[in-house]
Amino acid sequence: MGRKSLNAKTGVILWVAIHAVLIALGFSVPWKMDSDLYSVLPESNEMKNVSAAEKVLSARTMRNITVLVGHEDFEIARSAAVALDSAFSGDSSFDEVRFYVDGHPFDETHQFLVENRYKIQGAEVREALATQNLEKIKYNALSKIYGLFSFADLNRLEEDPFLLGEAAFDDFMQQSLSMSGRFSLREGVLATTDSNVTYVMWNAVLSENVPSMASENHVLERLNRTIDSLKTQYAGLVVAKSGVMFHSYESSREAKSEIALISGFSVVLILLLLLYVFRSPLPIVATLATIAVAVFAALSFTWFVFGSIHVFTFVFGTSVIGVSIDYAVHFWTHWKERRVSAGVSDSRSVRSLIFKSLLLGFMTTEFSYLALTFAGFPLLCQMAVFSMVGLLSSFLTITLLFYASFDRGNVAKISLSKLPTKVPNAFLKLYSAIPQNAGRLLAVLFVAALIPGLYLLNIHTDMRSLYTMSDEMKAAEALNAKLNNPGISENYFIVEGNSEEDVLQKEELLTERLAQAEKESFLKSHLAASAFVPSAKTQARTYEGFCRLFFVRDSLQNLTDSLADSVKSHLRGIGVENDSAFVAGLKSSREKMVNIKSVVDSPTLPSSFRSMLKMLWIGAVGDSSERRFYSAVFPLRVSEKFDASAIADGLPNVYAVNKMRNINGALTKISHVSLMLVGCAYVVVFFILVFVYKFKAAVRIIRAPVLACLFLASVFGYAGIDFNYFAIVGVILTLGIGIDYALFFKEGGRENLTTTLAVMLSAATTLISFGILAFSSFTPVATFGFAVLLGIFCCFLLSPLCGKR
Amino acid sequence: MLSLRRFCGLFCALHLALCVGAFAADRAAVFEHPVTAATKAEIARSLAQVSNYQIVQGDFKQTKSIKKLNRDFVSTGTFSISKKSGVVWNTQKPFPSELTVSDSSITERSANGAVRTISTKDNPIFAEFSKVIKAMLFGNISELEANFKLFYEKSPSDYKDGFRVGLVPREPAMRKVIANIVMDVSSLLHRVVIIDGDGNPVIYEFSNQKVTE
Repeated sequence: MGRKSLNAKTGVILWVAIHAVLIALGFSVPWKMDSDLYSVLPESNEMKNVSAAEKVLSARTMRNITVLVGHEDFEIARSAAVALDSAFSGDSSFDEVRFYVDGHPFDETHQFLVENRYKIQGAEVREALATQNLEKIKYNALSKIYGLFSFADLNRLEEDPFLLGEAAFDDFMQQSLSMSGRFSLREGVLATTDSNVTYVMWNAVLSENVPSMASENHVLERLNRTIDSLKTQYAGLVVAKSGVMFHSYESSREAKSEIALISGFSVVLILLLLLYVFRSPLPIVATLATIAVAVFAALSFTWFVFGSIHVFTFVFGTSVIGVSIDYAVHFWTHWKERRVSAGVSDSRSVRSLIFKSLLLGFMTTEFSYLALTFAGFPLLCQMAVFSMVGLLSSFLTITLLFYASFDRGNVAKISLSKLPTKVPNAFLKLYSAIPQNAGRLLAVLFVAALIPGLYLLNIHTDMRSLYTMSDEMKAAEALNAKLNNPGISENYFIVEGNSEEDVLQKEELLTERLAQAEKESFLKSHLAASAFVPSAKTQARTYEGFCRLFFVRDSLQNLTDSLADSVKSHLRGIGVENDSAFVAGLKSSREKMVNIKSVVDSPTLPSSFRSMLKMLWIGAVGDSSERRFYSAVFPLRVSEKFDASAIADGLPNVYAVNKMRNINGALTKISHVSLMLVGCAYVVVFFILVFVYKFKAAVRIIRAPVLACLFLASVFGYAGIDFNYFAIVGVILTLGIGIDYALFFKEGGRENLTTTLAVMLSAATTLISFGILAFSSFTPVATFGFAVLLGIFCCFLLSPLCGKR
Repeated sequence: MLSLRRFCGLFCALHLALCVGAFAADRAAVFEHPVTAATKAEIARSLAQVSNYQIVQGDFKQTKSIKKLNRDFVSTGTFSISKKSGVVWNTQKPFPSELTVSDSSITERSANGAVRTISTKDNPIFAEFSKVIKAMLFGNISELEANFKLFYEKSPSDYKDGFRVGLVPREPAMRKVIANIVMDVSSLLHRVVIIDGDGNPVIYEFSNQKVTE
């Protein structure tokens, strides 16, 4: 007795210490929820090299939002958009708001390009320089001077007689126009008409500190409220919102209410069930406390390890309720059974009765989860850690705390209603009624029936099919894509380099290939930072090209300060008698180089120019020891024949990226890896079982969860549902949880009513918590819930077969 | 390269080319007469007359005056405005080139045969420009009003039964390129003056015009 008390005391101290550490760790970091759909996705091999750069790019682009305000009457659409802009133009939640368009950016960009005309030129002029084609450059200038309806700025003709500043500006405008979609200027704003509705565009960039999670005074919530009020004010107003942040916000808002609903519904149903079985508040209160502590400990530790918890982990995490409750139920069923019929022959504690099965069940489940942490997928790893800690907490609560509080000393018979064994009794009778041969035949038929389903199984993950937008969001995105998409494809390139110059030079090699592909009609055009600010090497080459073209050479082929006759003749032709301004301008540009970083950071340059460059120029990524530089190149309006990988092939540090394809491929790969890891964990578990129970019994135990997984896979095959990554997570969970039932039956015996009741109750609570997940509006959660529902149900039906008759 | 500035120029100039007018000595006076409901109907009627012609052909002279340089750049050639084929500007001196504007594209052809084409599908600004051209052809005042503030003056001027139309771009961005446009109209287009953002005038004079009804 004395030894037992000491053990109990030590157990309680141990329990408190472990939980205190788990929770304290959680409190040592700021708590943050993450609902970004992409933030926890896996990295493919292709992406690993540029993952950090890609994340910077994604984080930057995902903060852009667009609101199209439409009405049949342009004036009303404009008034509503003006009201929207007034409400948010000074809001600190936005880094930038773009609405009014005036001529200033136009002039500033023009001025910048005129100043740097000997360094920044488009492909056409550079090509003329490369072939020393003065006639072409002269022709372009003359067409601007004498051509009809040309409004090139001729005021600088003395300094720029070849109108090279105008040529650079033309090239910039062409690049910009390729991004303009269908919108054009109307009364100082960007507008377009579609199906008799005129839409006015309002753009903004959210600040980095704006969370993607929904909250009461979230800027997007305020934006929604403003839009609703504008809709009330202006009848017939149509508003289309577009941007990743809107989706993240909506998802998290739905997730929040779903979490509350799923958790609440699960808890109520489980409570009712427990109340029916135990008819006493003690087991229920203790079980609920176990769950609460387990979830809290799991949350804290996961927060500590990952810095934030993804909303998916939280939704999946509600399943910890179902899993951890199994242990509590197992304890309380035996506890009550012993209290009702105590003192007969057995004076052992409940813990000693169930400890072996509980420990083996705990170990096997933890092994499965542990294996998943090696799968290399952050979300899966997060879910596994969450579940491992939750289960550990439950296991410790029951074996240490419950033991110390409810399970010591001699068992005394107390007046309690009997356990409701009617259903388990009927269940067992059903099994006993099946003759052995018939059972074998049924088993063969069952396995045979699985085969066609497994044959039809399509193991494939497509992220696009996993996210279902609301009809309103879908229509808004479709409208934006129609009116505002310049044709950016899923394929793009990330260029990596040791320095800014290195990146630009590599990018120029890539753009040469893209230009060739444009000639072959594989794409319409492309966007690249080097088209706006070329590498220093190209700038120097451009400058040298102009000098070679304009100045004569001496007998040693060195360039002199004298202009070539053809140049002089052009100057005379357009009435420029004094060439000093021209020559001085050209010479003074020799040392002046345009640096991309200074352009991107320059507050004096127009925001339209900078925002375009900021989208393309990723810049430095990593700390000082591993700093690398990156840029993105976007092909526009690609044909079906466009092969990004082939274009990047052989170009060092140029990576073709198709995020969706890469993610889908990575998810499929991780699915296989996860299954393999859990398979390996099962082999270990099997050896442990062989060690504990011998080979034949070990096979009997392990066949229930394995067949259950084949069953759920087969059902997916028959139903034609993609067996995606989330279904495979369901398989893993079935293997982890399902084996517990087989172990309980193995330990308790096949015809033990208490064990049967405990397993039935465990399965029922698990089925309730996962079954409800199957109704989630999140396709991944629903798929996962459905898979576990099928697997656990089948496992429950098969698990009695592992016990002795 | 056909730039946005150029589009703006084309956009405005073709308004003029397709309207018919005469030019008076004091063109700034037109901006003292904003279009009223009554004069709007009058413009619409006059533009409708223009749209009756199947083809208008003739000679043109473009004079760009750059105040800062105190220099004029003159080019001459022929033009053709056809309901079916669009508008063709054939510059002959000093620098031969051809500019064709149709509903679906704008094409520039140089003396050495080099051709550049931009389609309306690829370029929303040009698509908008084309739309306004159509509006001009069919005398759609509401479409014109969407892009310009209109001014109108019944003009005795140099041309019998003529009137003068002033256009000021509504867009501040466009006003950076074109401050205003004044055109004199009788039954045909005779002269147009475009004042650019720096105050430099570009004068288009049309002569020897022949019409096909």
